Amino acid sequence: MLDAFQREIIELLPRLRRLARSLTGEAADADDLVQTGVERALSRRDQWQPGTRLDWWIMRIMRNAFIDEVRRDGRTALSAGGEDLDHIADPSVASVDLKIDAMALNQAMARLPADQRLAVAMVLVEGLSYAEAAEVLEIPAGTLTSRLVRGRQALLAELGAQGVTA
Amino acid sequence: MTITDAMLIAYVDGELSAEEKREVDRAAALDVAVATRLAAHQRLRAGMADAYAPILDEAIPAALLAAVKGASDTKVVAFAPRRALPAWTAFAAMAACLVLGLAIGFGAPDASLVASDMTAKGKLASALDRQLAADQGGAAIRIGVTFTDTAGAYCRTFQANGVAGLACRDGEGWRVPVLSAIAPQASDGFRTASSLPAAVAAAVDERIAGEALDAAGEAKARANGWSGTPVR
Repeated sequence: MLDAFQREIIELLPRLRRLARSLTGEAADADDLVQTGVERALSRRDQWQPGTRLDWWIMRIMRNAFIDEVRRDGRTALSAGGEDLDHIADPSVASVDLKIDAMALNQAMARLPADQRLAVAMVLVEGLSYAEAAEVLEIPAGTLTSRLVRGRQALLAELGAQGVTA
Repeated sequence: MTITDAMLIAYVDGELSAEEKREVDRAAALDVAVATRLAAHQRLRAGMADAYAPILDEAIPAALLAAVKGASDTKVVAFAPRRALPAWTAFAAMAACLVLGLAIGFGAPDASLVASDMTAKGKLASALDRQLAADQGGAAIRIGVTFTDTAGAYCRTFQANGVAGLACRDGEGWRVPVLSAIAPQASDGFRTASSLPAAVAAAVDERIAGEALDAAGEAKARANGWSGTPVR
């Protein structure tokens, strides 16, 4: 029989799959990531504290699995390096009148360093506030905003370069 | 003052104070470059939400549901690579489970199938005697994998009436060393081979000698009355 814990996880699956897709870009990789998250969550369920957010706990497990995978794979950068903000507006971004295409967006996401992808996914896909996203990702607020800004500048530049314009 | 992308993004994300928001509004009204950048970030936010939203409505893959349900379940596929079970066994087991999932609900282990001394009886005994995995029509009892155990006896996995088990040939009958309840059906009524109960999967893994029988081997074993050490 399914217990309450398992039922709650089943209810979370659509959101976990959406988050994973934005991180990995590929449907099969995304479901592998969700499956890893679910299996680890079940095997460590005694570590979850009732009353805390189960969704965030599993997302944290998925983040770790995702970062491990990126490290192993070595094809995408884990991090863009320094966290300092570049305040210079990109003129190419300013001139781009975007019409966002889902596939182009997904491809652009896949080119971001993993840590920026995580920040962007938490806020723009999962819809968390900055404070929530920082908590889930276990990073300082300043680190989160810097990754968000760099990630989004890169996305816009990438979409502009792909000619995804109206 | 200079309006940074960080401010525009925070504006778009609803993270600015009322005062900061007014500042951005003013700047966007005065400077078309700021307004354009702001619009780009607004589109990006909306575009991201739209791009991934359809995934929420997708059907959940059976493997994921099985992962949630079979917390401790060993998967058939988990030992398949080592034992090199032929592909048809997976198909047969899957088909068996699918049909079973539709045909019957979850119930308590059925005393009409297994005697108190853990030997198969009634319909289970006849299914084990007669049914071939590749050809079992709409039978209520489904045979999964047939293999030879390390002692040379034939063993077969089966599922019926909310239980799954392993039966091994013992004299003229079938001993059932492992019988395990199957978790309730997925909401869509489907089950897959990957959710074979852990106890059964482990029992197979423990006993199997070599590879599972293919369809021809299974038919031959039946023809020989499931007796003796099989000819390979």
